[in-house]
Amino acid sequence: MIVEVDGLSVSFRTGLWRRRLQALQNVSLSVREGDFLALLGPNGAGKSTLMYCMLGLLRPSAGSVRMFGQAPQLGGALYGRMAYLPEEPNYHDYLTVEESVTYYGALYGRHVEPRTARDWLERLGMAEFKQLRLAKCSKGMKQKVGIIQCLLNEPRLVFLDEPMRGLDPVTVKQFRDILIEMNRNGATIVMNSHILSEVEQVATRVAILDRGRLVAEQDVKSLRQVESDGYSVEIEGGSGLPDHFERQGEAAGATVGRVAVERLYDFFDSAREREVRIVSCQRQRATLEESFLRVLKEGPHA
Amino acid sequence: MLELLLVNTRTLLRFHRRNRLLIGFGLVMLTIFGLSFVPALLFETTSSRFEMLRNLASQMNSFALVLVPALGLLAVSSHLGARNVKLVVTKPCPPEVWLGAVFLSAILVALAIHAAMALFTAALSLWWKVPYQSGFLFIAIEGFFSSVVLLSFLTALAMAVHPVIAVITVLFFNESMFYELKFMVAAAQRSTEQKGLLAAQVACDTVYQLLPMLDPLGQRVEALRASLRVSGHDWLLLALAGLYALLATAFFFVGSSWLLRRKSLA
Repeated sequence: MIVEVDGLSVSFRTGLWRRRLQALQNVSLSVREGDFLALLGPNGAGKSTLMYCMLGLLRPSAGSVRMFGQAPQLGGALYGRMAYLPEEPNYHDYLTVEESVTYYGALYGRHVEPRTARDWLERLGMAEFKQLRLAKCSKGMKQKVGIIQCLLNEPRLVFLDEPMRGLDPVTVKQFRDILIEMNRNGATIVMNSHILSEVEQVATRVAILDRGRLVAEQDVKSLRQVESDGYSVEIEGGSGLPDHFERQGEAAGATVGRVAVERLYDFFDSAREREVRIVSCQRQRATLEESFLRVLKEGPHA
Repeated sequence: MLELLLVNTRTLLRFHRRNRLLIGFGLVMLTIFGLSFVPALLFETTSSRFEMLRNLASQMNSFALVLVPALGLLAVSSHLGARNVKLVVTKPCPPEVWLGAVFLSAILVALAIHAAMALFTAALSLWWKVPYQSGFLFIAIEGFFSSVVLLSFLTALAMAVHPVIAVITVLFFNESMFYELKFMVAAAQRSTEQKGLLAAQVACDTVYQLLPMLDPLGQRVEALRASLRVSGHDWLLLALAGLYALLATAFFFVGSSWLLRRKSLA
């Protein structure tokens, strides 16, 4: 295991009366080598808090975190093998784009060659802004600087807190491809995101948090099969609709509908009888968003 | 580790160089200083110019004692406020190294400011044909040590409380205030013999002992400040003041590091 979280609880004191707020409650989670784990949950579920604890930025009230088999000690040697992209663009605003990339690279204890920094800046379309101070950069540009500082050291473990926020579609695609490539090359990635369509494309496992509790921890595939009890079918022509076909609408001249799994062959027979042409027929899978909402509503065994 | 310290120091020097608040504050102080400098140009005699030069050196020291301590305070409060320290400590760079760079960069800027002031005094004495006294150099070095002690104290305070509260604490709870207070309480205690006042006297004395000394040489160099003539013994005293500044800085650095480790940097 690359990251092991055991019985983690975090509480804060807030307000005038120092009321206790439970941010995390007895969360246990493991991140295996090569995992692409997405932390999901509604606002205030405790995703960022969990990530801060994993990073050693926040001390838990109870429980423990181990990274590469060790308790994280800020600034320790094990941070040389990991990278972190914060949610908010909390960078050194008084530095220029190029200076910040060089500075963050140098913090890994090695001097980042101007060419390496330049290559990454060019790859993410930031080369022309290299002399611009971060204070003058847009949120998306700062996010790109954050991405570059994450990639400079070829990390084995990457923590990404809302990485796609503020990025243009081209950079989202580019960054997604980079992440998939890194993961294929063995990097373990822990990502916290609200954009479920993005998570669906990159993550292999998800951990769903709700009100500080871990409510589900599953592979993306198994989570999405929760609702796969039907077929999505498109038909054209014929005299009337075949039996067992639940019409849902029209799309590009075809009639779109749903057929229950146990009625598929009866539907085919009826379609032949009525001389209906089947344009497409595929097993219905719940989207990650549907599965996520269902788990939140009905619990992990829904 | 040394490489990391230098990397952070270079970055923090950029912060000081580009900090508009510091630049603005420095310019205001320079304007005030410049305006008070104009009458000196009208003096003709060497003795009056010497007097003016001594006053200028003293004024510049006071100016530095206001500007320099703000360096550490601004660096700490600005970086903690912007929450960018987490980007540093989630790399193999311990928080103590970053904090060490905060102290080092501020001390380097302080050194540059005090050196510039000492050079200005020397240049002015040459221009005005006033014999340069080693006392000017002594005062500049002593001022640098005082600035460093105050800088370290304020940086440590900024780590614990809001920067405004840190400044207020330094303004109102300083060594000289408690020095006067402990004598006042002692006098009141002698005249009334109240036990409560005895406790207050002990408390004032304890706080006075704990607070950093900004003028450790005090009356020992009173004559030197007037005549600007320095003896061998005075240089020894200055070395002791330097040692005190070093120890105070080390103490406040350790305290700040302890506080930084306990701070949530998320």
